[in-house]
Amino acid sequence: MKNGRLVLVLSLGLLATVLSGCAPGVAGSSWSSLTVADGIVYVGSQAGRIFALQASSGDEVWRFPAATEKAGKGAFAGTPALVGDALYLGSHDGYFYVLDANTGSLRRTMATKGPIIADPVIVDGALYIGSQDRSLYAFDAATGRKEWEYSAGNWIWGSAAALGGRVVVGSFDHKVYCFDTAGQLLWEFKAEGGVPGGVVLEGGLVYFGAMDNRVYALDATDGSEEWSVSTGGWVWASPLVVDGRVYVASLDATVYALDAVTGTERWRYRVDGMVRAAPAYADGLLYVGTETGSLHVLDAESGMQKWTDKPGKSILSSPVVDSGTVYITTLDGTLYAMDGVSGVRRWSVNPSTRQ
Amino acid sequence: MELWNTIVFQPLLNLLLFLYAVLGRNFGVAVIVFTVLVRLVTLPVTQQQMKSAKASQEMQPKMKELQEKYRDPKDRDKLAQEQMKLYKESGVNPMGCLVPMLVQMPIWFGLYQAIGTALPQSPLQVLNLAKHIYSSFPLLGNIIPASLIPLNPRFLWLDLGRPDPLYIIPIVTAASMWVQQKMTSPGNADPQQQAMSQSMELMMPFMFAWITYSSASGLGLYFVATNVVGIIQQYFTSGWGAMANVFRRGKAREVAPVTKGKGNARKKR
Repeated sequence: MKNGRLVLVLSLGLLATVLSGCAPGVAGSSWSSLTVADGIVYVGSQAGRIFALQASSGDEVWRFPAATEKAGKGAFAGTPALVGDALYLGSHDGYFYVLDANTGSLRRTMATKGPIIADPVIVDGALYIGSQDRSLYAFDAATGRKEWEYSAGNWIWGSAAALGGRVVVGSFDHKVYCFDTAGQLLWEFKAEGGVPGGVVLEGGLVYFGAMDNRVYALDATDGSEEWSVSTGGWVWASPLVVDGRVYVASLDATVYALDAVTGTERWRYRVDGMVRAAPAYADGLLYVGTETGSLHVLDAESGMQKWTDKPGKSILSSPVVDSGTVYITTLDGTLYAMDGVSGVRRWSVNPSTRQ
Repeated sequence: MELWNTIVFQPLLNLLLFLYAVLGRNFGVAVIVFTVLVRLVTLPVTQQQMKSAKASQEMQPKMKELQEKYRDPKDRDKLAQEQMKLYKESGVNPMGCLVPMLVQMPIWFGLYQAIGTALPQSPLQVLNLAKHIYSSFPLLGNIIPASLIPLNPRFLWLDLGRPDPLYIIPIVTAASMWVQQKMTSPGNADPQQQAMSQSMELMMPFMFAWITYSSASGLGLYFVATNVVGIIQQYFTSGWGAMANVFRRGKAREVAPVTKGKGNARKKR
C-alpha cells in the first residue's frame, strides 16, 4: 500500500511538472518575416529584436535593441516596412516601433492594446495596422499620432490594403471591412470563416482568403462578391495578383492559379506541406514556402516545378526576391539567400544566435 | 508522438470541438459534459476502486489487531505475510488506487493539450489547430465548421484558455480533491501510514491547485467537474467515509465551548 502511494505521488509530481511546464503560451509563438531594400535585409526575430543584414553576405549592419541591451522587446512577427529612412514594425508586446533604418536607433513607438501580428501598411503618410486587440489603427506615419481606430469583432492578424482613398482589412470575426481614409465604414462583407491573412486591393477588386477554405474577390466599391473559389483547407496566405492572375496557396498544401477577373482555375500544384504565406513572384517564377520547410519554385505560367530546396525548418513567411536572389526565413530564425534561378545557396545565417 | 496524436489527442480535441458545436458554442459546458463522458467511460475502473476503498476501510480494525499481535520487530516478516493474507481475504488490492489514476492520466494529458490547442492565442497555435482538426472528414467538417474558430473562451468569469485571475478554480480544485480523498481514505491503523496518508491528502490538493493556478482554467474546470462527479459517485458507493469524522469533529467543536472548555479550565487550576 505504502509503495503504491509513493508511486502515485511520484506520478502526480511528474504530471504536475509536465502540465505546468508546458502551459500554453500567451504570446510570442509566431514567425518572423523579412524585407529587402537597397542591399539591406531587415528581419524581426521571435526573441524581440530587429536585424539589418548585408544582402550580399548576411553580415550584420545593426540590431535593435542594441547588443548592449540583453533583453529584447516582444516577438516581431510582421514584415518590416521601409519608407524613406524609417523602418516600421509591430511587436507582440503591443507596441509599434519606428526605427532609423540606417542606424537602428528608436525614433518612436505607438501603442495598441494587444499583440501585433499584422504587416504594417503605409500609404500617403498614413500607417494602417491591425492588432490582436481587435482594432484597426490609423496613425500619422511621420508623427505617430493616432488618427482613428475601428474596433472589429475579433482579432486582426492580416495586413490591410489601402488604395484610391479606401482602406480594407479582414478580421477573425469573418468580416472584411472597407473604410475611407477618415475611418468611416463604407461597407463590410461577411465570409463563412475568419479572415486570418492580409487582403489585396487590385484593379477595383478586393482579394482575400478565409478559414471557410475559400478565396474571395469582392467589388471594392460596394463589397459585393464577384467570385469565390473553394480549396481543400483554410486560406491564410494573402493572394498574390500578377498580370491578371491570382496566385493563392492554401493549408491543403496546394498552390492555385486563378483568373483575376473570373476566378477560373488555370492550374494547381500540390506541394509537400501546408502553405501559410503568400508566394513571391519574380521574372515569371513563383516562390512558395511550406510548413514542412521546402521552397518550391514554379513556372508562373504553367505551374511546372523549376527547382526545390529543403533547408529544414518550417517556412511560414513569404519569400522575398530581390536582384536575382531569393531570401527566406525559417521558423528557427535562420535566413537563407539563394540564387533565384538555379537555387544555389549563397549564404545562411541565424542572426539571433550570433553574438 | 504521431501515435499519441492519432489515438488520444486528436479524438479528444475533436470531441471537445464537437461538444462545443452542439452545446450552444459554450466551451465551459463542453468541458463539463466531456468530464461526465470521461467518467462514464472510466466508470468500471473507478467503481472497482471505490469498492476497494470501502473494503479497505472495513478491514482496518483487523489490521490493527495484527499490528498489536506482531508488535515485536522480529515478527515484521510475519506481519507482512498476515497483512497480505488479510488483503487477499478482504478482496482488496493494495495497488488498486493506482489503476484508475493511471487510466485517467493519458486523458488528463490529452485534455490539457486539447484545451490549449482548441483555444489558440498565437499564430503558431492556430496553425497547430489546423493540423489536428478533422475538417477534412466530410461529415465532421460539417459538424465542426471552420466558422467555430476561434472558439469563444468565455465561461462565467473565466477565459478558459488562460489561468483564473480570481484564483477560485485552483481553490475549488484543491478543496474538492481533498473532500474526495477524505471520503476514500481507509483511516489507517498504523500511525506511520496514517501520517503519510494525511500528508498525501494535503499534498495532492496543493499540487493540483498549483497546476490549475499556472495553466489554462479550462483544465481546472475539468478537475473541478471530475472531482464533483467523483464525490457524488463515492457518496452513493460508500457514503461520506472518513469525511463523516470531519463533520462529527466540526459538530463536537460547536458544542465544546460550553462543556469541555469549562472542564479543561478546572483541570488547569
